[in-house]
Amino acid sequence: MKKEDSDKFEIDDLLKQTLKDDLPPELESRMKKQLILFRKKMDQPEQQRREETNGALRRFFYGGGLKWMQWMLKKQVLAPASIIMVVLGAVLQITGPSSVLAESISILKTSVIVSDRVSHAESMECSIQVLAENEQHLKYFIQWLSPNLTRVQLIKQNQDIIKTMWISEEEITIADHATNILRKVEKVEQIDDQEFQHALDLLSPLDLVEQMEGKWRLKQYSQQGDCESGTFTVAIPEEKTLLELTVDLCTFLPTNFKKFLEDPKKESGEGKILMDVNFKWNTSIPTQLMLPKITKGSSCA
Amino acid sequence: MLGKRGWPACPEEIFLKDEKLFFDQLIKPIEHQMMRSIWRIVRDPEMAKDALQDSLAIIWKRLDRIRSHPNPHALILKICLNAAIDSLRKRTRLRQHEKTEPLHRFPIQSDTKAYQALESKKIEAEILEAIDRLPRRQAVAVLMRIIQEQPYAVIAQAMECSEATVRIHVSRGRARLSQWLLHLKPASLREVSK
Repeated sequence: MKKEDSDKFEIDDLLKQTLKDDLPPELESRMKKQLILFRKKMDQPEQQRREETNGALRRFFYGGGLKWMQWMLKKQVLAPASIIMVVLGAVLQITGPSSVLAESISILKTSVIVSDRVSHAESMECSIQVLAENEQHLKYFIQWLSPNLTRVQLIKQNQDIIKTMWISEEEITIADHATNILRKVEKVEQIDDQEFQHALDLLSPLDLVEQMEGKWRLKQYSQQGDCESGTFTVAIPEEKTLLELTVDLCTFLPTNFKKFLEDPKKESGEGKILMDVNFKWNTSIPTQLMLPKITKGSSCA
Repeated sequence: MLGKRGWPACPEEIFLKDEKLFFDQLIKPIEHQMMRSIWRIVRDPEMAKDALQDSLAIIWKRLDRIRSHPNPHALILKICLNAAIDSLRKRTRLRQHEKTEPLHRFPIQSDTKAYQALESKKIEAEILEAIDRLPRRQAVAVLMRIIQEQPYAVIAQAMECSEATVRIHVSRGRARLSQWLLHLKPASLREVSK
């Protein structure tokens, strides 16, 4: 076989093997829904579609808007109107503050960018401090590496790591360093350690995005400087808690979030922080750390 | 009714004035190919959904052109490929903008499944990056030929150029990919290629 031919087949094989035809069934059903919606839209009669798209325009013309516009375009009206517009523009420039609409669009834009940046992160590290039952503080250190390797360390108050959990696509390994016992489960739902429950919502950036898009209800947004940081205050109705998410406005990635009771002043612990999380993004995490290392003579390392 | 390589036949006499017929005759038979073509290139669930949505928007805009095309199925699949390539480019731009630090590369010493998955993800990323670097028409021709396994004549119809031009695009695209991805070949083959 000629060299060119062998190159041709090698590159073909490489592409076919790597870009496999392995569409996940869940995604396939979601994409099918998109196609069904598209079909529904196509099924609408042409006239109805036109009505939908041109409805507002048509109402404007048939509702006497055309006559009104013709009147507006007369020179006698246009000249004073343009002067008024210029004056209004100048006043708006001087008075400074942006409109509520512009502000809400800007907040929406920021939240969309944050969600996008988080879901495209290459790695995530976060330290979590949780106020658990009996006023006990639990600390976790979570490291996540794209595509789906996670390591969670549970740290007791005396700074000792008491448990470590490694999550990969294939399995979940939990090491109890106190008892030197190693066990494996297949799914996150099978993790029955009460101590790990607080960390299960932040095992990957996608978990954070899911919460942002599903559970959180925006209450307020404040910004410090043009490219410093922004703070979203959100309510989590299910948990009756409030949450402050601080975002670095240069990278649009979260730096910190704090969770409080919904109305801290009325509760016994005023300003008591239920959860405090600090993030680091896209740092270099050694891959070896993300996989359990089993050594001879000991059940875990 | 299927043609060669499972390719749905699309006789020219099908007159697709009705939108319902348009979907049933032109999109329905190839919806699996549409979804899979997009997925195989973007390899990301959210991006795949977005790319499909973009493809449908373009199909919607070009209904008349698709109806009158000599090979509407090929044109629709080319639209899907284009949308997928656009998504890849958007992702590349976004990553350049973010200026993320490259993660350390560690030699693969273990045979654990997780290591293998990680390594195959890296290879996948390198291949997608190489496809992204190809000129648009070369990328479309190469992907239609290798991934969608379409005959040159069909690709020529979809790309609205001659078969000879398609062959040149595919050949140049392959050559560039072979050059850029040489390091992914096993060492023994690499020496032969040199």
